[in-house]
Amino acid sequence: MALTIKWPETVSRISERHIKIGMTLAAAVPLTIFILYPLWAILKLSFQHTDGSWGVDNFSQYFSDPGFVKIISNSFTVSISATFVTIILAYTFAYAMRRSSIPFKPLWSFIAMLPLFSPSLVQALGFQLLLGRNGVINRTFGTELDIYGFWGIFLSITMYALPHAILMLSAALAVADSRLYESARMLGGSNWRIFWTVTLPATRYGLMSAVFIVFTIVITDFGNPMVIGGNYGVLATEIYNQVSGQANFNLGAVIGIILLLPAGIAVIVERWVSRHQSTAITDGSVPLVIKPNRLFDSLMLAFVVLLCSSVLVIIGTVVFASFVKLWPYNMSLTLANYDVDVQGGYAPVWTSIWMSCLTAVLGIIMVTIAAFVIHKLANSLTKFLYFLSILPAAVPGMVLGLGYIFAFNDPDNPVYMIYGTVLLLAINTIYHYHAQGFLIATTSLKQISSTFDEASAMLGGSFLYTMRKITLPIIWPAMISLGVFFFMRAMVTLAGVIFLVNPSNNLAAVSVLLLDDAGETSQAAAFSTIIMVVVIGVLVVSQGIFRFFKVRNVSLIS
Amino acid sequence: MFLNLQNITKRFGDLVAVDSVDLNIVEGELICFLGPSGCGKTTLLRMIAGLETLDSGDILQNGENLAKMPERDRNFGMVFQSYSLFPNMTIGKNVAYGLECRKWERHQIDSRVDEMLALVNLEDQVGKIPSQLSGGQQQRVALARALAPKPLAMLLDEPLSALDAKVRSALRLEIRKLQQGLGITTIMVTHDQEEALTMADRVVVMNEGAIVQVGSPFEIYDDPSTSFVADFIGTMNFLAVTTLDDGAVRLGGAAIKCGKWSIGTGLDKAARLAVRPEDIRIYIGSTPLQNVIEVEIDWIEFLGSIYRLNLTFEFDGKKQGLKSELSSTLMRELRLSVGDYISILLPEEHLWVYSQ
Repeated sequence: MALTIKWPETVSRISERHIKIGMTLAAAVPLTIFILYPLWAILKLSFQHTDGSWGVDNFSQYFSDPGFVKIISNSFTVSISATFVTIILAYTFAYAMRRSSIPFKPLWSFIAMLPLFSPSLVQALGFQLLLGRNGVINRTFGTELDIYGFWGIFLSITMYALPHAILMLSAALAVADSRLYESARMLGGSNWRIFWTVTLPATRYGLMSAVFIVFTIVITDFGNPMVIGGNYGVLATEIYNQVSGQANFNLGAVIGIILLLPAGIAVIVERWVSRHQSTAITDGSVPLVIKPNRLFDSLMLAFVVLLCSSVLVIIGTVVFASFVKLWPYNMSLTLANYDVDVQGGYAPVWTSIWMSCLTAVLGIIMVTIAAFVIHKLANSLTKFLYFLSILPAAVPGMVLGLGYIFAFNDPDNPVYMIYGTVLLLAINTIYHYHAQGFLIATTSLKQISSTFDEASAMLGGSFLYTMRKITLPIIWPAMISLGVFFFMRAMVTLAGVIFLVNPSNNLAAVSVLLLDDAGETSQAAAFSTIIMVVVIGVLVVSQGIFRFFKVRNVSLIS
Repeated sequence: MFLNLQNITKRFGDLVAVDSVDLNIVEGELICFLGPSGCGKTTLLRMIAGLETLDSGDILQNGENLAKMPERDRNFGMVFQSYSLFPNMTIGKNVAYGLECRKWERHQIDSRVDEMLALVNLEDQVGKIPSQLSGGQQQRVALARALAPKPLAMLLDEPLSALDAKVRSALRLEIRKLQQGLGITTIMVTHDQEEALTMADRVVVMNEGAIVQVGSPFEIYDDPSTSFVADFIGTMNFLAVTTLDDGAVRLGGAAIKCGKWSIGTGLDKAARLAVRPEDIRIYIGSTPLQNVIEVEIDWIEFLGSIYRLNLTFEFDGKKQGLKSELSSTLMRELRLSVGDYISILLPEEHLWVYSQ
């Protein structure tokens, strides 16, 4: 008797063990191949000389050249300035959204998010169209304003980083314990004093995280400096010049490592900071109710309108320019710019959409598996897998892209089979944005209390049955939002894929860069507009799906 | 004997969560694991459930060893503190879940779901989703869900802790009646002694991973085997004393005869004298009597039907305090106030002596 019932148990135990081992491998193998191996390849190459010998010559050559040192100092100067200003603007904006009673908040938030929906060079394109040599200002007023260089990069990357910072700081300011504010007022604190003693300390971890994330975003941004940097070289453009311009791969690898350092340090500090960010809000907390204050609200509204107008002017200029015959000489309207005749016409747009769909679907699968394995199947491997999963946050897109060349552009490597295909572009995008996607997926998995698994198991449900009946039905909205996140990033990404595209599978965002480089500014604007329309269209459709299924509490923008 | 736990041990790293526990659980009883947080009671329950593996030991159910059997094959119904109703399913679907896992026929499932929901008086909520129900209702659904597949035993992990006081006492009674009606063996974990005393047939008091005492609620209250149990169950005064000959201790200047000894008698050993507040009596007579001491009233608390008195006395410069409870009627007659000196009688049969 005992034997007859033992058999099926043993079989089900073994198959469940196999499923778990299989899933762990499904998470571990791609993370190793597509994150660890390319980084190893770039590290190796940076220590390899052109004659094949090993040493630190590449580095010493780099640091003994004053031109290169100047580029490093440029990079830091502009990144630190932009980070500083971005954080002040974003904090004020987020404060207005969360702690004032100004009208039309959803509208302002949407406008401030616009830079997220376009390739990173669109801000630069907008500033160029307005303030460039052939910009509308210089042409109209006969001025000789020179936007190219520090100021151009500074303005465009500030605008580019703004939505990222606003998202983080809004989250930090969203929660507040009313009791603290009431006690502070009872003790006679002025509003200004309460801000410094209650609000700012409560958001300090969010603030520090935002500082480091913004710094990483701006120092690794490539699109904006390419368009508007002029002679003001920064690390991100330098790496492109060394690799694409002079085919100096070893030096490219060196710059990659140098670029990896500040971003890596920023991310490590950010991780450390966010670990301390907890339990400001307890069960007994009372949510803060915002009371209208005419003077304060007016000031906040003025600031928000000013900021949103700037974003609208820059993005609007690009959209407008796409419908103009010959910017800025002949401002009559036309659709001719949408009749793209160079750089493969519309092919890159379709390639981009196809690549983005692929990124979304594969991204959902890969990231969910990774998050599931790391979160639910704690085993000896998962700590390392967690490290690999969030490592890409510290890896600039260009560095990862360069790593892909070194690692996979080699007929002996099995991945070479898909080298130069859209599939590799999609994979590169997934792993470039793996850290953020992983955090989205982990957050949604954490919503599923572990007692659901236990309750299901106690009721007799198997591992797979629980997945199908409980886990998936609960997390599908979060998975859709994960897919939307990957789709959006894939449509606008530039840095990661710049080294991997080729004429037969060019992407829309890269086309914008190439068109602008070729002087076809209006067509570049038209392409940018198409990208924005596609991204916003996908957002609207997904929002519609969520409305239809009455899904709440799942944000599509992250 | 329904379940036989033999020498069960569980470690988490260096911490021994459950330390060589032996316990027999009788068919049809409601047995309660009671102890402070971290005493290992939940871990022990989870090992019986199969949600934690055993480091060593055996769990025998009618002679069959469960130690290696996966949780889903043990056929135990479990109710969690956090309800753990599946939020994506209706109440009816939640109750049907275990039956679907067991591949029951559709019509059997439907009638069983109706039956179970009727049992917990929620038949009109079948189409709602969990978040539309109150905490108490959700926990009753969780009970119905756990009982639907006709489990061999019911495991309750702090089932009432998340509920507010009124709902808690109502549900306490409901669970107990349900359990007795079905005659189902039930193991409940709680840190709330009131819950344990009112519901359980037997209480297992645990501390630091080990069982300290097993007995009926009356036994563990009336005859706590260690000072830990005495302190943990109910309110207990502890006084520093030294032992004397012939079953007495020296408290201050007086010799006090004690009825219950958990340490061997001997001369001049430091010990602890324990007495419950409700056992302390006011002594009005004027003739000196055994076990009477004089104390000062330090504080009086009015608690409605009773008063609580904080009493102090000093001997050799050392001050000790104890609490006593008096009925309101007695207090009115005696007209006591703070600062008064009174004599109290410590009844021999209600005095325990524990080691230091």
